[in-house]
Amino acid sequence: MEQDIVALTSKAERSAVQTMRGTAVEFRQISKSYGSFEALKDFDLTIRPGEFLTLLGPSGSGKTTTLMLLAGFEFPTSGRVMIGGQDVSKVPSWRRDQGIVFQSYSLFPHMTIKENLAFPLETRGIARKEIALRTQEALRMVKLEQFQERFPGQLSGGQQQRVALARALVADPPLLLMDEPLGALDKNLREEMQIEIKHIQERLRLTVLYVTHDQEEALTMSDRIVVMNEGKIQQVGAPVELYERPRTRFVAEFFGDVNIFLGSVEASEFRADDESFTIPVCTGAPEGSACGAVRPEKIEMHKWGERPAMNDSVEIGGEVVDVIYLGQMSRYTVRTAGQDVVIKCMAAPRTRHFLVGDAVLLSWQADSFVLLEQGATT
Amino acid sequence: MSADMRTLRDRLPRLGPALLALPAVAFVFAFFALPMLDLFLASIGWPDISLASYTEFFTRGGYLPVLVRTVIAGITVTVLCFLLGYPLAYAINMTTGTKRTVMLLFVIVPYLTSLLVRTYAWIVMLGDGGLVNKTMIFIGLTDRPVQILYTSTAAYVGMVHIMLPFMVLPILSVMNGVDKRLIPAAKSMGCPPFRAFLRVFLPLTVPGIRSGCILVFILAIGFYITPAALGGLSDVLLSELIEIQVSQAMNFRLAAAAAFVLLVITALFLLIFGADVSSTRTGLVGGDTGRFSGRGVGFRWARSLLAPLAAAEVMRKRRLAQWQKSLYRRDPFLAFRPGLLMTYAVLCLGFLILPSLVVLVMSFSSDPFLSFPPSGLSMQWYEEFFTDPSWIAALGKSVYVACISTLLACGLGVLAAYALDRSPTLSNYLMPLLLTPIIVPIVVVGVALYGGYVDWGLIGTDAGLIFAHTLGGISYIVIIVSATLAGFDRRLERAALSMKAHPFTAFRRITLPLIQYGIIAGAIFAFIHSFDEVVVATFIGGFGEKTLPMKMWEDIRHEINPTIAAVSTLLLLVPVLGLVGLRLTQRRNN
Ligand SMILES: Nc1ncnc2c1ncn2[C@@H]1O[C@H](COP(=O)(O)OP(=O)(O)OP(=O)(O)O)[C@@H](O)[C@H]1O
Ligand SMILES: [Mg+2]
Repeated sequence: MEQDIVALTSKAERSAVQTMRGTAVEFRQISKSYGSFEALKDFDLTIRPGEFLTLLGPSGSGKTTTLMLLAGFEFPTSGRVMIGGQDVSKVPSWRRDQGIVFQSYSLFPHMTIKENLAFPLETRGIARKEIALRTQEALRMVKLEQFQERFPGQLSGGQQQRVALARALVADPPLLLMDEPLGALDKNLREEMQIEIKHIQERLRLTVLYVTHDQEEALTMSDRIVVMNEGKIQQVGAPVELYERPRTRFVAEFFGDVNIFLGSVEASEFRADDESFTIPVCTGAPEGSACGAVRPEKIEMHKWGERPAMNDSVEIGGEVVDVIYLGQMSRYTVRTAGQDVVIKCMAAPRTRHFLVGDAVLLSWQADSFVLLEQGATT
Repeated sequence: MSADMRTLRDRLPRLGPALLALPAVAFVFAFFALPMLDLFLASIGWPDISLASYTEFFTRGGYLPVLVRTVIAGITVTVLCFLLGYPLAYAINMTTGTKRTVMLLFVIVPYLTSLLVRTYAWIVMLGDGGLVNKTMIFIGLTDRPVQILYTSTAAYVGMVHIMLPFMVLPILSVMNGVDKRLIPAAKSMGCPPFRAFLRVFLPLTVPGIRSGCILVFILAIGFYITPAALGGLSDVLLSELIEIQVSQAMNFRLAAAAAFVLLVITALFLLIFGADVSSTRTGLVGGDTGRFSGRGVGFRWARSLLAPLAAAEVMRKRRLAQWQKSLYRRDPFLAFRPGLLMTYAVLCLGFLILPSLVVLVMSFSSDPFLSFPPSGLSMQWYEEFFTDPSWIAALGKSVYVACISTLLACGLGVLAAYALDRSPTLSNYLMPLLLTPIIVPIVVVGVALYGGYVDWGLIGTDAGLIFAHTLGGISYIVIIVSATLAGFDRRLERAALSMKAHPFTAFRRITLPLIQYGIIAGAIFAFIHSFDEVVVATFIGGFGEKTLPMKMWEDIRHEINPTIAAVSTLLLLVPVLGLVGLRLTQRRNN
């Protein structure tokens, strides 16, 4: 990071930092059909200037479609796309000003790295001298100066990815679109690149629309996440919000393991259908049948007979039926009088290691329990 | 926004490709499909519809036997080519490195060499004073020259020689794609080598065999030049009969009927054997073929039929899988006799290349007639060629016609290929149309264009020739450029658009450089197609100035003059230059 800042010596980049702000983006009542198939429905979304927004959802949920609408490769069937307050719904891609990093990188194989980086500047009619200057800067930014005369085929996957990023940024677009840009990289490299992208975005204060189906990636990088399913927005919010306070069962289940309890709400209290526990919920909750969620790591597990350390709202007895070792954590399945409950505990001292057959006591606090909205469940 | 506007805007992008394909489609329609329709109408005596000419064809003495003989000749040539060609392709596929390149050149150079030159070569080889007779006398098989030339043996030898590359190239291109690891895998399951070959390798190469056989059969039953030049009077084939009906008997109706019979046989054959040329089977064949699976059926169908494509591909793909190749090289099925196979391959390649060499030697002969070996060397025939204004004029005209038609074909063909690549639906319907000019037997094309161009006053004009040759040129360019585009990553174009490149800039700076190899290869094929074409030219050339092949053909028929050997030697340079050009662009692209 420090190195990056030192690298910001040139005039162009400094001025970029000072004056450039990402633009605002707005999707208004978008729907998009391919023939009779509706890929996007009632899509309403605002991206704030300088925000890192991630689209997250299962395959076929319409993430790429959304990105393509913003990129100008597809046009909405109805509704409007606004960039910087202007309606661009019908403006084709080559008249918009944005940088795109494609999943396949799409580096031009017949041009050297330098020529690849110069391309977006040439199409904007920038003078040759300045092109040379700015390509050098971009190369420095992604630390690839020594590779500039090579062809894309002569670079590793990670290096190609960096070139793609530099090429998307070299013309200082106020908006950066990325469609699963790290999909082809291995885990370590992916994490490294996540940090790098995030730094660059923060430094240039770019507006970023990022597409991924890796929830961890979304959680680490985004200011806000949009969870999509079947062409509809399920929930928009900051990573913490989505993880801790999912609104629907779909969102809860999308971010990893979760225990879902079916039951009913009566007088501000949730009662599990299997009568295994009751738990207070907020006063506004609608009465009637409901379902709630508890993340596995929010559940405490004790040897049967030991007192819970804290004064938790729920206590259920059960028996360990399965243990999976995950490295940092272990994942237990506990059979209770009602349903099986999943628990994740940090790998702990030997004394607290549970074995299959152990009788245990489960407990969690009232605020770990999230009441989910009905209807939108799947 | 109104619903109408919306549907219009949704449709426009889909109309775009159709607009790009329009010029080529209109061209082929006007200068090919209409004449074909005309021909059909003529055959049924439009406007007084009757089947009289067909009845005449099938009942009057002499025609039916010719038809039967033609089909039998087609089948015989196909079978012979397969028997000779499959082991040859196998041997080439087994070889690696420079040896392989040389073997390939020995197949591709004859393939690209003028039909007339190769036919002429056999006249030289098989004549009374030719190499074959001289050799037989030398080794004591006979004491007098045996009559070979102008017999059906000569016709068959010539036809097989000319067709062999059409069999080898598609088979080789499919063999190339077969996963080499399958064979050791089969063996590891306890399958003995020859059984592994029969059960695993052979079935996987069936698509290649099929397209090779279709190609050879279709070309063989429409064959005109070679059997006419080498065969005897008693082995007249249908194509010759058609030519005679038009040029001598002036019975256009009967010629039209005969042409349609030939066309129907071709179509039936395609329908029976070509229908499912590249369905599930090809899916099994390596990455190269799999890559195309997303494209329209029409494209796949056409693709598997075209030897030029196979040639271009076989030439191109070499570098990639070299290491893999050498990994499994020492694993021939016929492990017991790899030497035998190689000897066979060398003999076959000798058969392919020898006639050209003989012509080359003959062209420097100092004798006033054809005799091998020549008693002395001289440049007299070259002198004769370069000092005879009629030869020079013919050469000039050929170059002119070939250049213009190549340019025209390039313009129309590249646009069409680009359009078809955008839309699988278009590709399904239009690809077959754009390719018919080179799938329909050439003699049928000749008659049809003759009939059509007579009405338009194009007979004997440069324009007529140029239009006729542009048709085939479009086919070659469409098929080769389509194949190249199938390998082109369209997302690159999108990437360029996302960088504020105007669509035209994106095409010029990204697409064009990346498909340049295909365009140049296509242009080379289109040029050679026009430069060598003689059958259609003979039909529609009228009494106008002659092209080089027309003049050669006339001379071959009337006086076997060694000047032709000199011309032929010069023409041998064409494929060589073409290949060099192809190599150079390829190198630049790498
Ligand atoms: N050009 C098209 N024609 C028809 N249907 C399409 C087209 N493009 C996308 N679709 C459909 O629209 C839906 C959404 O596609 P989209 O590519 O946006 O999904 P995605 O969320 O990006 O999925 P993935 O994670 O697999 O990339 C899918 O059901 C897809 O089949
Ligand atoms: Mg996608």
